[in-house]
Amino acid sequence: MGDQLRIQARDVGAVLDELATLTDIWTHTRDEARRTKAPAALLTRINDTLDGIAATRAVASNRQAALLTLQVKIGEQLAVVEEASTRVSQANGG
Amino acid sequence: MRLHVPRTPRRARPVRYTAAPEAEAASTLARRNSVKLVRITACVGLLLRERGGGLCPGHINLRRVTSTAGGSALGSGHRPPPRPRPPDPVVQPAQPAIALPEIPCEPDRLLAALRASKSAVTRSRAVLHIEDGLPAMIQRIRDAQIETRGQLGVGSSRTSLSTWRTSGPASRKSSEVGRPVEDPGEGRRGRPR
Repeated sequence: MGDQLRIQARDVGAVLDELATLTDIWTHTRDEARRTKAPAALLTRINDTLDGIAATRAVASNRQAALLTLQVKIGEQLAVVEEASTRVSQANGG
Repeated sequence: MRLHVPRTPRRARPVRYTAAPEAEAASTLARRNSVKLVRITACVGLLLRERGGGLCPGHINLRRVTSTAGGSALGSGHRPPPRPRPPDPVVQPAQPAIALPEIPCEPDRLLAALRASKSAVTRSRAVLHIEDGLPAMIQRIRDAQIETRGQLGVGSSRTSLSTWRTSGPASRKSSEVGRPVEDPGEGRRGRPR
């Protein structure tokens, strides 16, 4: 259970890293296009691309937050079960 | 009134050119340092003899002087460890911009990649199963925890009762010797008049 969550969280983290790189590239591209006075259509296209990247980033960030929350909740429950198990073994004279 | 002092012809002193300290040979530097060391040793010895300290000049040796009077700088060969330099700030290379001719086509490819990323980010079946089953699991654990606590409490009282029973009347009597017999009505009756 924990492994599956960890793998998924790692994948989402990798996607977020890639998206951050893409944001940098396209922001730099927009700056260059503005500097070189590129046509407005080109700037619009760049802005649309940046919007698409931002939307995907938002989805990935939410997913990462949900996964981390899930991991925390499972960790809490594991701690509860472990404590109960310890108490039982102590009562049995272990 | 000014006195007229007859001028005597001055003799020109020969100028002695010495090399810069950093250009000196290592042997010259070591010799100078050893001379300094001897002087310092002598001074410290005199000082200690005047003050009547516990050390006498004979006790002052090279090691003591070098360890106390900054011997590291006096040719003992030990230099203070170099201070660690703060790490240079890591300069991230700027991401390359996409060439203008590629801008019209590039977003289409990128949007396809973004769609793939979105699908990779969506919940997998396993995670979906975990997420959906977690509230019920939490409730089950909570119930089991309450039950375990109750069982452990009953178990401990049962254990003490069985221990008391198995200890036998003889041993119970011997263990109760010297203990005052508790009367349950004693508290209610109050103090005897």
